[in-house]
Amino acid sequence: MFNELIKTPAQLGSAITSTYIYSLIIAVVMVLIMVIVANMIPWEPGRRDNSGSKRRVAFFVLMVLTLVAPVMVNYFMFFNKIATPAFRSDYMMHMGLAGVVAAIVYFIIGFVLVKMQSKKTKLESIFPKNN
Amino acid sequence: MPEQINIIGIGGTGMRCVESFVHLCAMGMFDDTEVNILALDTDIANGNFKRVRELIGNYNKVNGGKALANTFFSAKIHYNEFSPEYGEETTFDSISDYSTAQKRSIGGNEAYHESDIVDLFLSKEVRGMSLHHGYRAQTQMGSMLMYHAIVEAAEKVADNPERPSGLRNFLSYLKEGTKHKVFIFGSVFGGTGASSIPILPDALNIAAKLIFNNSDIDILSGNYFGSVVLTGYFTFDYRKGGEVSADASKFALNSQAALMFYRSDPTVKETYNRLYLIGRNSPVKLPSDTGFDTGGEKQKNPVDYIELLAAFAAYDFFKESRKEKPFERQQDESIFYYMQADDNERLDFINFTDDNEKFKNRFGCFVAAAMTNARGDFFRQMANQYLTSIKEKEELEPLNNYIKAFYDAGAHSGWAQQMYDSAGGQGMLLHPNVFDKGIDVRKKKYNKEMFYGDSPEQFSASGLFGDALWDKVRNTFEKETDSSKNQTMGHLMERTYATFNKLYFNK
Repeated sequence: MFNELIKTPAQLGSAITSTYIYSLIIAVVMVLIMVIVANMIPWEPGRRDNSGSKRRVAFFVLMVLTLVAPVMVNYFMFFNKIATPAFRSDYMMHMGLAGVVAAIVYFIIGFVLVKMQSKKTKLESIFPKNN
Repeated sequence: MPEQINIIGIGGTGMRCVESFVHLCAMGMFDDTEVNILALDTDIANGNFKRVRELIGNYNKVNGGKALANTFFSAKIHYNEFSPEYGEETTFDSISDYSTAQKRSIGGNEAYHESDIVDLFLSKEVRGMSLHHGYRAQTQMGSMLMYHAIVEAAEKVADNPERPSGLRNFLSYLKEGTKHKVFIFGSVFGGTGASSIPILPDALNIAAKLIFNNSDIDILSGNYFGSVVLTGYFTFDYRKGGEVSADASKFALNSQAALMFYRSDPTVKETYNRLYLIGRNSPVKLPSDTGFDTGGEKQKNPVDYIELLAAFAAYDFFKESRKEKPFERQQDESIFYYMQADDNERLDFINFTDDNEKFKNRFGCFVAAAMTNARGDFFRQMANQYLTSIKEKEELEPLNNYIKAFYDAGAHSGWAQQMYDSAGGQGMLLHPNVFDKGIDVRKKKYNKEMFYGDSPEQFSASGLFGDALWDKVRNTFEKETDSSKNQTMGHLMERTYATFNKLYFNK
């Protein structure tokens, strides 16, 4: 399927569905990367540890990547294979939308995961609970 | 029930031995123990005296008044002071009313006067010197005066029981029961220690009878007394022109005379169950910028590892006293144990105590805690993060003050640093990089370079960025110590010890 040119509406519909699925997979993978990166960022010495702010930055950087990555992936997976110009503009809208959906899903899953953590853990420090 | 032990520190050297002893308590060498300390000096303004007072003050704020185990600051310390109230104008003449004694004849014979015996021992210069800074190595006078001062103070307390008295507080632990253990720190080459060691037990016994108004009290019988006898281990050039002052060139002679006396004196032999003789082959020359005066605030000799050895003499004494039949020996038998170390040898844990594994564990963990604290305010951060009931001013400040006095790894100062520097040669106890003043504490890899040689006691701390060592320590504190202990300073100390014990010793 990945090597075929997209010529028919049926093929376009299938490509659009796959686009959203891949975007969700990328979102989940990005959440896992976020967890790994957050735990790799070390605690900082000093009266108050400020490493949470670094993890927060990493969280949002990965969110931006989650927005961009599906667009890049789907561009090469599907957009390049669309032979019909009319289909291209239609697909492009979905390609962009899939990126946005991925970023939103990433944020929701990531935020909920962070808030489920115990206090004073590395993940929790991204969005710390009030004392 | 915690074990009760009693310590008396006499004079400047005694104070520094007490200081070393308190650091042993802080690192956790005396679990489940109550320590009753009497600091005794003629010179209450002495710099070493003040240092001990501040140290124990901070210690007690951290300890919180409990005898604990498997933690830092585990021993409970009761601290008392005694000093004869000598002012600037106080002299032997004024105390003894020498001028009256000089006029009184004996038996009506004008050729002999009540002052004649004193004249055999004391020159006019010595009799007239101010006692405000102590006895200045005039032990022939000091013994008399210290005995008199203790008895006089006891009489004052007996006349006025409401009067605050460190002497009464200390003796209250000894007045009843037997098998009390009392260990005395002092030097034999100087003034106060050499003056006091021979007469102290007897003087305290009389003082107890007076203070508690009970002639049946006998703190000598059935109790154990030990002492460390420190011979001359440092020397100095300075001599304040014109005044009587300690003369370092006579320290060896003083020590010899004192040891000969102790060997033959029946009171010493009957009272003391054990004497530990400690000294250096070559006395260390004090640096010229050392605070030196005849006494007073400026007299602040730096610490020496000899004083740590003395503290471990006390440790050995208390350990021996727990045996079924402690200090057993045949009459008039003397047993000598000796350890000799060349000036170029490296001093290891076994040189200080047979419980060397315990010492290695506690000292290593405590130094690591001090270094981590210097690296990034460890105690404060852990308190802020995990133990939010700890108060900043009342608890964290004294803790940080204590730790800096023990070892300020950032400034390369403190007791442990001075101790290491005093050993010279190949160093002592820990890896040379621990106390290397040329390496910033944030660059020291004490996860791997804490113990000397090819030591298994180490842990890895790797990471792509940031302070991986700090990260490892904090993660261990958070995840591998008892998180239910999240309230008090005691919990902080227990978890800190558990952290480094886990990291280095995997216990």
